[in-house]
Amino acid sequence: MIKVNNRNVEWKKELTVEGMLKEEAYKNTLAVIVNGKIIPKNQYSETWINDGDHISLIQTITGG
Amino acid sequence: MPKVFRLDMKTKSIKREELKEKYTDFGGRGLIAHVMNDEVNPKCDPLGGENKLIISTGLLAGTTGPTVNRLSIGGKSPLTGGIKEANVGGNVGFMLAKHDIKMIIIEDVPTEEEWFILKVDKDSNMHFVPASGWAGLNNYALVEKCRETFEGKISVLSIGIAGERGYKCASIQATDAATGHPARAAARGGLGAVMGSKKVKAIVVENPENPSRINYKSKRKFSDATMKVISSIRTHGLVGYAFTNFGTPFLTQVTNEAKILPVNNFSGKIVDVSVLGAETFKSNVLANGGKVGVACQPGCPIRCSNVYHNSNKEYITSGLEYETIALCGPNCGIYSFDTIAKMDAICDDFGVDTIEIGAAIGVCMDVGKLQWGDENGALSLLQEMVDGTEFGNVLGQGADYVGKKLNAKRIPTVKGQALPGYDPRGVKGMGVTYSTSPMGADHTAGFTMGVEGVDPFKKEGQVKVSEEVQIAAALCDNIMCLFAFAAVTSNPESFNALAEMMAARYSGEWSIEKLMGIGAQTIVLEKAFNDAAGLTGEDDKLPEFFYTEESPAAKTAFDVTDGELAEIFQGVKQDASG
Repeated sequence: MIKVNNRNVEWKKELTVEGMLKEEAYKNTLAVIVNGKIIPKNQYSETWINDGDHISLIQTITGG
Repeated sequence: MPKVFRLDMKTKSIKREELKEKYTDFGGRGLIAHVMNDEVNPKCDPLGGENKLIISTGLLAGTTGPTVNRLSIGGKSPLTGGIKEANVGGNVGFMLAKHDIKMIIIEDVPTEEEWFILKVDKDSNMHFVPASGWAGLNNYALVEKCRETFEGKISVLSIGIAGERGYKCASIQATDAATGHPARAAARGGLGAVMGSKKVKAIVVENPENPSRINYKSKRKFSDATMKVISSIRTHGLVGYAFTNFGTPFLTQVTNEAKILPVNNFSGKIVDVSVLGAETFKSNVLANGGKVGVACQPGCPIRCSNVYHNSNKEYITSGLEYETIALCGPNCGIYSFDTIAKMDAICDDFGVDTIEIGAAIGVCMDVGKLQWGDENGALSLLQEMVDGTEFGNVLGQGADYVGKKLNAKRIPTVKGQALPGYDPRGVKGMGVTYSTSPMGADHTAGFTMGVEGVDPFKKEGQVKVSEEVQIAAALCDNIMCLFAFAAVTSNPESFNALAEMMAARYSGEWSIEKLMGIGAQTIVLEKAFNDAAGLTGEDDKLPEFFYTEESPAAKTAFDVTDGELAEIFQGVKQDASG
């Protein structure tokens, strides 16, 4: 099980951030944080999602 | 019925009124739009006796809802020449709500050169307190003196010397809930100059002896709906995690990767901003004894603010925000948190808008008055403004005035107001918002980044998207902080929960449609004021260089035509007149 934006989601083996963002619900993602670490876009394909990870997907932005 | 105080600065009279029936479905920005249309001559001199300064709380102020104690301040802007609402966090809104004060309307200007503090006492009455000896104080010293002078726990709205001098980018500062410092800013549009024109140095709110109790229609239903709204915040990646952990400085890398971070006066240049990254920010702040995850208003579950200490472990500012980092940082070629924080601290204390000042310094660098990245030069310019030198007085009038004085070709303003930290060529819906918002270039008026169904680099669909988010933002400014609102509107269930909160607080039927109607009516009123003030379609466009210069990062120029921009709000206006 992993947490995505504080909700439980089934973990899948051999999943990278890039692979995860191909899912329809996550397509519109602007930034990704895994276990508190901000993942640069050029590292999406080499960042693995492990069982138990906490992931924040930033899908809309509002600034202040 | 909540109280409205009306203070006449010429006659020194105070009237206590009830909120008009037709205003009861509005708060904050909506109330300002109504009062401006009903009471203020749109062609008036913004710094003259006909203009009014209006302070109003939101529709759910004083309740246990999250972020609902944001405070709106409005009037006719000396910067844009149109209507202006600037809202601010901090603890003043909450304290006013505890006094059951919905609105304070400050009218006219004194005939004598005398300054006043307006006080709300512990019994919820208002008073004029002579304060001519307080003129010449900047915000931090002023608030310190207020704490020594007034009774018990207080919150303060204040102006620094910039407001006294009538600078067009003068802010009104509010005390921060966590630190008590005057570090929150109703920054945009020069409302500090309007307050200064009325010779009001500060508004001091004492803690009420008998706090007002909210008369809920159903407290239980309100609590249930509030829990749904809070849940939407906790499950929102941006406001429920990123902002709590890093604050708004999180956005610098995001906007850079999205190719919209302003660099060297909106040149579109691609740069490495890793030294201004969110993780670096957080580790620096914590290592130097500062804090992240700080709530600027009481009870906020997002806690996006921070307390910034420099590398010498000295307190510098509280609430170093993305817009300040973007405009005073990369937009000026400056890549040092300590320098940007120092610029922020000077602006907060003196009382000016950091977006406007960062943009103005960027223009100075663009024409060669300073070199890109000249940190000491930027700080010297700020010192000139504080000292009131000839060029310092120019800087205090904002980016548009500075650019014209220096014969600059690239002045990043709309309706005289500087663009915030998102290059509109890479997020074209934002360019539509900057162009057409009644507020001038203002990101909070309608944020389109991340909106599904449109390509940010292409113009197709952007006018419609901007219209929708501008109406939603206007609704937000009637009720709560934009960050919480972003979570609320991220799914229909939580948006419905906001309507349920309204129904549980007030009587009558509430729905998403009714809520959006409040936003639409607010915009229609604001547009009507601006039309009557003499603003036209010619004012609803970006500066020419965004159309003629392709951004090297975004690989496109802004290309939404005047005719396409003119389509915005036409249906909304027709609905309102029908």
